[in-house]
Amino acid sequence: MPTFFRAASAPLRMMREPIDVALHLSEPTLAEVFIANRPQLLRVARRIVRTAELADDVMQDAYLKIADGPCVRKADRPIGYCCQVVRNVALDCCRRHTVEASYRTFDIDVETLDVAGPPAPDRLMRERQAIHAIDKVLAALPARTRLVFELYRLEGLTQREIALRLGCALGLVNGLIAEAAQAIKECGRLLVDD
Amino acid sequence: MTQEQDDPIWSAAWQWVQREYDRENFDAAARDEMTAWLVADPAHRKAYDKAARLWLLAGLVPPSSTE
Repeated sequence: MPTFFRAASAPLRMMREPIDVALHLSEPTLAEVFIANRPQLLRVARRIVRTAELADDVMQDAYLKIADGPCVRKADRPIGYCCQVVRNVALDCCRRHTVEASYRTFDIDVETLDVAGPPAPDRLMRERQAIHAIDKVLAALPARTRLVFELYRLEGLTQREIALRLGCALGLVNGLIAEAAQAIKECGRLLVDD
Repeated sequence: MTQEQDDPIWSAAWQWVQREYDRENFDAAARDEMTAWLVADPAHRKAYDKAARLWLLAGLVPPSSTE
């Protein structure tokens, strides 16, 4: 994790005290919810990544994603949304590590791999645009397709678990997920290659 | 970047990211197959990284409010 991210952790450390929501006239921001629930969110990260250090990296990254710029839409359950972001950033961290480990089994020197530097401001802006575009694309999907996608991608259920929960065939779940993924795929044009 | 939807490398990369996420079915053989594809061409890895980033972003969308 580049030092760029470390600087952003200062407010996290300074504002550990839970925020008394009742005293606020306006609703707390997502960033405030994140900070107030940091111990719980850290536990979510720790259950997924192997080390405390990686969990810290995940927390920083997730905090930036939440604090940096307004969310696409207001999340109905701010704490639930914070958990979702931490979980998915943590899973992505594991994915990256697994890919790098698999390179080693192919005798490829990991040192030669590109290490992602601090994201350019332009990249963050593009990512925000992509989230907006994905949100729009998802909103256009049939309700059932969207529900299955949300259980799969946002809540992290497996296809089998979704079929069980909704009482439908695994093949149907698989097809609906493929439909949602196909719709999201076109939003890739908004991301730069880097 | 032009006509990305018809780009076979982008399509393959997106497919790999989808298969990899499906943890019930992505076994060691599939992992090896994906790694072989990734190392075969730097353009493959580049497209894969981008596809993985897009899939992460898809996981950052808030749930629909109708639930």
